[in-house]
Amino acid sequence: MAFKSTLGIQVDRLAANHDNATVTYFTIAGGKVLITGLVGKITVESGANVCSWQHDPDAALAGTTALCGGLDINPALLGDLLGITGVPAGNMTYGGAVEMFTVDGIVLTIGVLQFIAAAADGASSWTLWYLPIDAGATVVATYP
Amino acid sequence: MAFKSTLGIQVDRPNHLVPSATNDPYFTVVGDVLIKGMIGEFTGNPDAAMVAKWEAHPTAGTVVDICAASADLTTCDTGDVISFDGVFANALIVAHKGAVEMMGGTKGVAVTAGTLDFDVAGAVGTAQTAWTLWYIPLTPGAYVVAIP
Repeated sequence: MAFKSTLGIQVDRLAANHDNATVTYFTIAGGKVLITGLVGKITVESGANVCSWQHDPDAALAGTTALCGGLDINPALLGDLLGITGVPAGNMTYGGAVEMFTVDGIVLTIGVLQFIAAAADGASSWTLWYLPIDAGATVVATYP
Repeated sequence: MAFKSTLGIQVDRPNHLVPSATNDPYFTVVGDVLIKGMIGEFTGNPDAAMVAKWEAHPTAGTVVDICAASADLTTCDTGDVISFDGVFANALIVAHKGAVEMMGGTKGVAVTAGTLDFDVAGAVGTAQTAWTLWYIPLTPGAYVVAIP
């Protein structure tokens, strides 16, 4: 689904089991984008499992950037939302409601958005909203 | 009234007597939505102690306070407006006058299916409020309706 609201273009990533790894969930291509929101949903509850997000750019000299601090999703219940504030120092949060972005957005260059899970436990689905900054820039959900 | 603006879709909950010391569901959320703003107005004076906050009660999931409890609202008058800034740790904002900040702390609050409850402590007295909420659907077919 990719409709436009004031949040921008919506990209859904279907529910997937968490791997004990850094896994690419979204790919940014064609130029820079502004991420205006990123919300997940617990589809299978997990035991102890610290999770977070990072951006890994294509540019050879650029390093990865954490988009949030880690959250142990163990207490989160089936159906709970997962959210980030857009401030890298802020931890991911969970619950029946989550704050979404205390900033206007996060600028990302061409590369990938990766979900990092400390354990192969539980599952989640994710939805991302973005505005293209460069002509032709896109974000698509990626499945290993 | 349900028109679209940059705030999203508007839902009005008409004037309603505030029940004392209880969680009262004011809005039903179907699907996932992004709350872009919420304001209340006193339509009857709280002539007794009244402390209030908003909670998200999901059908499945974890109950979350989407703002902290207000100060005592006893001194508020009819016409005073109420809101919250979207930061869960911050208290319900009550302007004992006609202006109040709305969602200055976040760009919105994502809420999953369930109810939004006005959680009130205190005797409340004859307090009455009316509320208006704005939202954007996050999942297909998602919506919010006021509970009479």
